[in-house]
Amino acid sequence: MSNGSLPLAVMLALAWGVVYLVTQVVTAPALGVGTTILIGLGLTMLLTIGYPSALRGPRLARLAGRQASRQGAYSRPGTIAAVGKSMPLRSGLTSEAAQRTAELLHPLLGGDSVAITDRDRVLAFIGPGSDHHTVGDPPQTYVSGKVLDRARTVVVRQRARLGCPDPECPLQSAVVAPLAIGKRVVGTLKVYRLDESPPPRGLIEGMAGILSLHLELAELDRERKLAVDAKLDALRAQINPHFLFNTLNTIASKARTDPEEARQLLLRLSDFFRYAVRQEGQFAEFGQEYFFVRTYLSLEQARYGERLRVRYDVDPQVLTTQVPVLTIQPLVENAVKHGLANKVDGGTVTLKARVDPLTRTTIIRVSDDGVGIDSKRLTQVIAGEVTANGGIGLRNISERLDTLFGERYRFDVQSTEGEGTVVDLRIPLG
Amino acid sequence: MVPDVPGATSTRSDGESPEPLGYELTDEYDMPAEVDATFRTLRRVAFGYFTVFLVVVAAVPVLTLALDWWSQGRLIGGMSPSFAMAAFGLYVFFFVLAIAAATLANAVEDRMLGGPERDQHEQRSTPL
Amino acid sequence: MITASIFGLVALLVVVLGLALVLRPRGPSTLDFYLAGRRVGVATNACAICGDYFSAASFLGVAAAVYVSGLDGIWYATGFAAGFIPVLLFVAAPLRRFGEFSIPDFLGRRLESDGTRLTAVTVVQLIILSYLVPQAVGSGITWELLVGHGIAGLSPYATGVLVTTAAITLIVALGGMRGTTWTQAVQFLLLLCAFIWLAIAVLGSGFNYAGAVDELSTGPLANPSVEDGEWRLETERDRIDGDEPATFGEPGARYGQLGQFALIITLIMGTAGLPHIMNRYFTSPTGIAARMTTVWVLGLAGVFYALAVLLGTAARSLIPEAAREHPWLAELTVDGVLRVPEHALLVLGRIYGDEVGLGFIATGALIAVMSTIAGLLLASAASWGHDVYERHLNPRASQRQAVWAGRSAVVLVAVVSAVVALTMRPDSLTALLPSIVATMVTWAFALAGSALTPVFMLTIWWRGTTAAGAVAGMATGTITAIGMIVAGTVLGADGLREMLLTPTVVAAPLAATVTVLVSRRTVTPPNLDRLWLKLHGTAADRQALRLARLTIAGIDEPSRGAAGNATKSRQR
Repeated sequence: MSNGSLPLAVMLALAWGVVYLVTQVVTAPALGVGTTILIGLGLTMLLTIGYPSALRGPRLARLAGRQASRQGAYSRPGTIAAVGKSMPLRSGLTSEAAQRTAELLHPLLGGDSVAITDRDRVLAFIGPGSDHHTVGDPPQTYVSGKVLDRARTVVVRQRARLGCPDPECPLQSAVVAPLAIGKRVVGTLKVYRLDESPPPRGLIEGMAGILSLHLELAELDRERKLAVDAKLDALRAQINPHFLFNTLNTIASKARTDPEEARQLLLRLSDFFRYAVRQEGQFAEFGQEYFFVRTYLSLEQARYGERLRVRYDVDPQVLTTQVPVLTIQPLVENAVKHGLANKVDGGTVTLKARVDPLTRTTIIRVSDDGVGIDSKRLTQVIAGEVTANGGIGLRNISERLDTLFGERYRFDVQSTEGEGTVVDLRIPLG
Repeated sequence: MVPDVPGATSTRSDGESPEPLGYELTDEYDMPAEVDATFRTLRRVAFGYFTVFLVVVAAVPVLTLALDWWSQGRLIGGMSPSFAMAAFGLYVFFFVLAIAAATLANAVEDRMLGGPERDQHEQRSTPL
Repeated sequence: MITASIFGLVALLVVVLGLALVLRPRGPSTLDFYLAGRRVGVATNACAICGDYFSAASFLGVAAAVYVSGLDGIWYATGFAAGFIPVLLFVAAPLRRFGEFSIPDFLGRRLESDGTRLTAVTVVQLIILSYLVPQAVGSGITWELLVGHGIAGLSPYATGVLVTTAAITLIVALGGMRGTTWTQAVQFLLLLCAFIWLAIAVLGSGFNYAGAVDELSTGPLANPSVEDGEWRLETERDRIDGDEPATFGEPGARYGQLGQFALIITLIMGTAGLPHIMNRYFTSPTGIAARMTTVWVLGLAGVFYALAVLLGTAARSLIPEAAREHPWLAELTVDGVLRVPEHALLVLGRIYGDEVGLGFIATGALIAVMSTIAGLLLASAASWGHDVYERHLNPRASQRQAVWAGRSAVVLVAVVSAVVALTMRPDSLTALLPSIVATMVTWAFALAGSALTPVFMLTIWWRGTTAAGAVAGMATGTITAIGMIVAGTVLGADGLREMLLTPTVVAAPLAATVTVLVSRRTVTPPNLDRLWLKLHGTAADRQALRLARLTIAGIDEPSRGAAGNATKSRQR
């Protein structure tokens, strides 16, 4: 994905170019080779280390920019390689994707008409004959049924064997290849010609193979997303009702003594739930998750008063990095609930966030100086056997991280009884 | 920028006039812990940029001692690199540094204090 | 020569006075008088800050310093511009967010101490005075060259000092900051125009910048000096390489290694402590606006100083030839080198534009002086009238009384500075220093950077700062800086001692250390958290922005605005 390595490489190349120009070409006595290389290396180090520090501009502009670039990716037809890259079918066999694919393939496959069908309908038809082979109708030709049933490519050389019910149909010959996910045939790719020599079979079979691969990937994507979404939904539903009751109680008691603060708490509470409910997708900017944590902690601070102290330690680089949604707040909530709530004189929750530019990781650490957890209970907590008072367990979080990052993350919990707990989360940057 | 319109002064002076959208102006507030965090992050940013700034500015005279090329070399036209740097290179550097630092500081403040605009996302009840 | 330039001058003065009168705040309140009601746009404010900042030292002094000492002179320009980087990084936004009237008020409120406020007033007045004097000297020099004779039996120099001071005092007293914000911005644009015109004229005549630098660097650098009552060119000794002659394009003509650093640090640290510049930041609508204003200032300053350096170089390279063609240059030069380096731009102006050109540049110089003096006087008035009179002498003062107190303070400070300037004839010092105006301004920077900036930065960025610490720090900085400058002037500046004239390198760390040490032993203000919210929180900024957005929305959609008004009236 675009993790920004390309711009960095371009910048480095530019920097070396400038160094070369200034020291060797522009100036009259050229600078010695050693010094030049030293300067170049210095610049390279500076750029590499300093690169992640550059925040990428204001929030809205970024979003707009990203959407624009995503749309731009489809708009370059021409070669088969382009088709392979732009993969409209990567999002599944929909009529819109099929239409775009057919448009892309039409000039490439050596036929006069190109059609894509799923099992029940024609999804796209381009070229002569589109007047009666209309999109949305069931596939009319006899061969379609044959291919869908046998999962094999069929070549038709005579108009009669094409089996089109319309006597005026100009199509004479065709190659029909199956589109399959695994062994399951989900549709066909058809290429027709107006004369009796059928289009090249190998090419069409190959293309159908590529498209099938894309469809398979799409299916995998969808399944994975479903699984993760389901977890996220479960997570949202779990937002601790006790927290809501406690906060409402706090607000109710403040309403008499300090109506202004009560009002602000209510606003914060609504901010809190709005964020939890409205957050879409798996990732959010750290800055947004940080807002969620701040909102949560300010509500808890209203409840616990002086007993709950908060310290944030945030690197500017972290703010724009993407982190999985609703992971940090549960960690903080655990620290408050299990670490500090039972401690008489309270304590401090610390959220520390850093970016390591060299390993390209985001490091998030939530620590407290609360009562701590003994090791036996800790294993239970991590295993997800204990989820006291509802709330989101560590297990839930680590499972979600598993699906999102595979092996590329670290999630450590360390706890000493009486001294506090440290949760350390390292996820890949970008 | 606050535009120069009648009404702005009057609302500013008492500071408590309710807005049409149901939120009051006083609803913007910061928590001490948040401000402290922003303050420390900004301090880190400021000192980081200040170090870069000092290093570059000091490098111009220091290079004179360390590298003959710096004051003896001739860029196109005949200026030495050190003279060119002092005569305009540094001003460009200052300006670029200023833009970078200001953008970063603004972005940090934007993300670390306050929340997303409330009244943009929410369809609140219509004005009273 | 004289009629055209005097016409220009008079016309200009009339325009500036007229602007001040037209823009005079109606129904003067203290807020309007000092801070222009706190609603000034980013670009306008940036121009106004430049108008305040680019004094005679920048307009004539930088070119003069480059003219005299080449690369070493450029460091003035670099330092003046670089001074805004610390302002941007450390001061601009928090200062505006805390939002008081003036530096003393800021320190007083932040540390919750009247003692700190009064100490700061003293320091601020000292800085203003030491900044005002070179401006008056600069106007005296310009008048001398431009008009050449005095009025009512006074010397030309004295007339220049008195006339400009009186004119500015009048404008400030009548207009207040609102008047000056706009006039300052206009004045800065005029200055920039003067530079751009001169640069175009010079470059248009075939001047090759880089080539000139190369050519100037081949021979030794020589400047006129008086020996036995006779002017003679004397080759500058290279202060880095020992006894070899210095050249234009290489360092060493004016400063040794140490002196160079000391000068740069002094100028860099100084800007953040200049009261008339910092007061401008209180007029920004939000902290972010204050920050962006500084970015603009840095851009404008970059253009301005790059041009100044170019013109200084051009003067060095072109005047020898011109001296052969223009007889009037004979009495100003020795073998094609100007006696008073501050004349460099004025002479260039005359070479390329005859009397009109001279008048234009001279007008620019006077404008630079006037706008800076105006800013300084206003800052002075703010600290007398607001910090001393309203807070201590007469806490129940009405708005009218407070404004009048400010006005009388303006007059008083102006008179004092004019008197000091009159006693300091520049001739007596020229031999000692590269560019008298630029050097004297450096002293003000040194004082500001030693006494105010360290304390300022600590109060903003260190929670532990206490009132006692701040007072001790300011006192240490002031005393060290003044002591070193006096010692430097008396002993003469050479070798290690050249650092004495740019004392910030020593005085600022000392002041910071003292502040920290004393603060450790004393108690911070009790409401620290609340003060911190105000200093570093953005809630007020966000409110202001929201209000602005709503007001704009209210204009776009009258119906919604009307609904808002209805709500407002119901709740009252």
